[in-house]
Amino acid sequence: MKSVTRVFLAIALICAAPAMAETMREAVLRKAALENGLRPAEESWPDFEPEKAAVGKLLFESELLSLTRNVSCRNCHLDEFGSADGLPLGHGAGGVGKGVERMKSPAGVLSRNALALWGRGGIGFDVFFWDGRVDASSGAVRSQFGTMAPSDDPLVVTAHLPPVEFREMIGESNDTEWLRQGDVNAAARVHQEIARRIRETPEIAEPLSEASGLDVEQLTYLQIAEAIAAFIRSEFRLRETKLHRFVFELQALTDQELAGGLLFYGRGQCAACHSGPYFSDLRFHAIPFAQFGFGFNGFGIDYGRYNFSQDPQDRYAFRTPPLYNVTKTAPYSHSGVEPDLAGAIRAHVDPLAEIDTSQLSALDRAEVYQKIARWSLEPSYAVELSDAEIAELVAFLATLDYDPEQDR
Amino acid sequence: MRSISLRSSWLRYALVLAGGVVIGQIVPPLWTWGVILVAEPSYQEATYHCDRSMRAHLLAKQKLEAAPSAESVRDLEASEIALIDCQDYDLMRKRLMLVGLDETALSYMALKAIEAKATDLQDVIEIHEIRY
Repeated sequence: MKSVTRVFLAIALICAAPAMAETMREAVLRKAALENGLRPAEESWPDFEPEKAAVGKLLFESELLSLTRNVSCRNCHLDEFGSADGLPLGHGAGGVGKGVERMKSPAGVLSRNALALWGRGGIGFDVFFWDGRVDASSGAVRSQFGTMAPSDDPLVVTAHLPPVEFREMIGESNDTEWLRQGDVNAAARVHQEIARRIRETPEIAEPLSEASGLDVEQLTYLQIAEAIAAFIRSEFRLRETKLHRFVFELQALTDQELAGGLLFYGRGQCAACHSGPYFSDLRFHAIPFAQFGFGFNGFGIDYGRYNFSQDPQDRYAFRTPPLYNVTKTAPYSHSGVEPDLAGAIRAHVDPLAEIDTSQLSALDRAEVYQKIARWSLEPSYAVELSDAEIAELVAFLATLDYDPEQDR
Repeated sequence: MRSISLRSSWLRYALVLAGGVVIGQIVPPLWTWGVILVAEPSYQEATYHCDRSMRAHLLAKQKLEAAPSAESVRDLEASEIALIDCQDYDLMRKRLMLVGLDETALSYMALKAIEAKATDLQDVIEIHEIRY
């Protein structure tokens, strides 16, 4: 009887072998993912000091970093919106609540969509903001600080910027009008004021002093920014996703996810820009999204990277957004004009499907032409994708989801 | 009586034979048209997808030859992945042949797909004219 069981077991295994074997599609997708930069999440983890990260959390959630004391970093980087704010445009100083409630409050409205923070400051993640205004990809940190960059760590430099931005963390009023000169000295005065407040707040100053190895009186904004950077590196580091398990542990994807992955690396040309360990080449590309809001350059225009590089070729170009947890960070694009991921993908390859040109003004239409002209230089220019294929891509992108740290 | 019964029996056999011949002649084409009716949309789509991927692959190869770069290598690799469309097309062809369609039926469906947008004779001429 025992031997009969063994024979049946052997037959069952032989019959099941083809089903268990890696299919050609799976092999192609695994190879493409690796060749385009997917790495185990741990390989992107940067060094950070846990003590600094712990006090960085306090700073991240403190309104003391707002000159007008009416917003914290956390207000626009929320778990329920995938570390962004769920709104088309950032709603900063003076805002109340979250989501739609915040839109209805007297918040300072920004010209761009609040970015998610996943992977920021990880190994090799060295270009920050939609327009790359902090860029260490050349090895040296390039930023608005010019030669006076406060740190050679681009994330620390990045943590210097939101507290000196009008509407973002500084409410507009007669009291803050002096800041409009917008130079480095004005920014330094804001940083000094924030550092003074922190020094006078023992529950933050003492752990910051301990973590930084300085006396409380010696603390400056630099230590504050270093602590925030440590917190971001800890809180928002990459985690293992379903795609990691598929590639490195040979777990299965659904047929729809598999088809989406093959489109992503194949005909969809998505990996031409969304490559590397963060699913971003951290370079600048122009996708002709419609513009929502007043635009960084006013009149509903946003020239993107051009504002910092002054290179006409950079008009309408924005840094490729990383894709981890992308399904949680709607709405999409630099001005949050696309409410869902399928629409955002459609706009990448078939923008006219998303724009009713008959409703546009002559200026708006001229902008569309300019954007399309720039887009024509991009690798994902005019790719034919059906609705079903876009749904496959969305399913594949959902394999990049993971949950934030639980034990904080 | 006996001869009538015999004749009737022969008649029955003849009728069965005739019926079999008629069924044998009618059912295969009916089966073929039935399969065509069911499979045509997905076969035409598979034909188009393969054609599209082959064209993209050719263009990517030409681009690489004309201007070799990391970008054109990546484009070629992406277009190679897209050629999986042609494997899907081939598999579908084999499946349809297994259920009884022949090359003529498959060509018929493919031709209809290729000419799907041919709204006037000029389009048909462009598809079929011999080019030297």
